[in-house]
Amino acid sequence: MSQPHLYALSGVALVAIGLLGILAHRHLVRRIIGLNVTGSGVFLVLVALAARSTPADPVPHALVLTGLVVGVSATALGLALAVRLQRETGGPEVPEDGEGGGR
Amino acid sequence: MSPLGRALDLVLAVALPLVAAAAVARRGLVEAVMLLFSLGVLLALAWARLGASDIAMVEAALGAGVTGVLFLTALSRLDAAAEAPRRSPLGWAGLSLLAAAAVVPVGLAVAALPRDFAGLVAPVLRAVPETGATHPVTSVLLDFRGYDTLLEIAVLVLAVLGAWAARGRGEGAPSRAPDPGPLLTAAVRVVLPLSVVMAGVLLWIGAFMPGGAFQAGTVLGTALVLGSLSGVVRLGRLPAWLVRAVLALGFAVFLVVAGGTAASSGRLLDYPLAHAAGLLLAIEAALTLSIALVMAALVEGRAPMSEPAGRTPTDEPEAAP
Repeated sequence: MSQPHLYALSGVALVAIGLLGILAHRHLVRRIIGLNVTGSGVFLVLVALAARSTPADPVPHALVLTGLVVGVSATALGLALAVRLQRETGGPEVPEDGEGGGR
Repeated sequence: MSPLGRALDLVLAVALPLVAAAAVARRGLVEAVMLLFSLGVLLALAWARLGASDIAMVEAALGAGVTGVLFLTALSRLDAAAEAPRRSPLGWAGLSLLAAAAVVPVGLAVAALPRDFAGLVAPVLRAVPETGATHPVTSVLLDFRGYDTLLEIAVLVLAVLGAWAARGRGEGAPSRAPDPGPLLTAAVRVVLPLSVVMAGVLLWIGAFMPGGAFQAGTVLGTALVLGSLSGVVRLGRLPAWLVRAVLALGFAVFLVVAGGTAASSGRLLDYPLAHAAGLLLAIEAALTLSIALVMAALVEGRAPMSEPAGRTPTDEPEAAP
C-alpha cells in the first residue's frame, strides 16, 4: 500500500472511532474527546490524500492548518458549555427527553 | 522510500487508531485526556512524515499542548465524581457496528482513489508569484482562500466570547497549583523568551518557507499558557481593554485590508502586487498576536474584569519575586 493510502485509511479508522465515542458516551467531555478524534481523522484523510503528488498539494494543508486552530477553539467552547451545564443541572450529560431535565 | 521510513509509517498508521480507541474507551477521564495528548504527538509525527511541516508545527503546539490543558482545566472545574450512565457492552457493540457501517464505505472509496493525483499543485504554483509570498501554503491561506481565513479568525473571536459568556462572572479564579516549584519556574523563564523569539522567526519566514501566522500564533499562545499556568505570566494583570483589543486585532486588520482592497480594486482581498508582501506581513503579525491571545484566553476561560474591585481575593496578584 502506498504511503498516502496507508495514512488515509488510518484517518478513516480515526473517524469511525471518534464517531463511536460521540455516539456511545453520554458524558459531554467524553463526547468532545470523540469529536476531537473524528476531526483528527478528517484532517489525516485530507493531508494524506494531498501527499499523492510531489510536492504535496498546498490547498488541503492550508485548510487543515486553519481547521486545527478552529477545532481547538470549538473544543474550548464545548468544554465551557459542559462546565456550565453541570453547574446548572448537576450532571455531566445532556438530559434526555422525559428525564425531568426539560423544565 | 527508506525501509526505516516505511516501518515508521506502518507503526504510526496502526498506533493512531489504537491510541484513539484507548482515549475513547478509557474509564478514567484524566487517562483519556492523556491518551488524547499522545494522539496529538503521534499526529505531529504523521504530519511530518506526510510532508506537512506547517501542520506538524501547529499540531505540536495545540494537539500535544493547548488541547490537553483545556481538557484538564475543564476536568478540574467539573465534579469529578459525577459520571454519566454508561452503556452496556451490547450497546457498545451495536454502536460500533453502526459507526463502522457509516465509515466503511468511506474507507472503500479512499482505497479506490488513484495512487497519483496532481490536485491543485500546478495551478497554485503557477499563481504563487502573483501573491506577496513564495511559500504556497501561505499564498493559499492568505490570498487564494483569504476570505476563508478571514472568517475563521472571526470564528476564533466568537469562540472566546462564547466561552466567556458560558463561564459567567459567578465563578472565581481557577485554582492554580499553589507553588510551581523552582524547577518549573526556572524552566519557564528560559522557555518563554525562546518561544517569543521562535514565534517571531516563524512569522517572518512564513512568506517563503513553512511557518506563518498560525504557527507563530500557536507557539506564542502555548508559551502564554505555560507562563500563566506556572504563574510567571499573569494575563489578569493586563488592562481589560488591552486584552479585548488584541483579541480583535487580527480580525480588524484583516477586515480593514479586505475593505481596502475591495474599495480600490473591486475585489475582496485582491492585494496590489506592489504592496502584497507588506500587507501579508501586517495581516500575519496581527493574526499572530490575536491567535496567541485567543489560545491563552480560552485556557483562562474568564472575561477580563475592568474594575479591580470586582476581583475575588484569590485573583489578587502578589508581588513578583
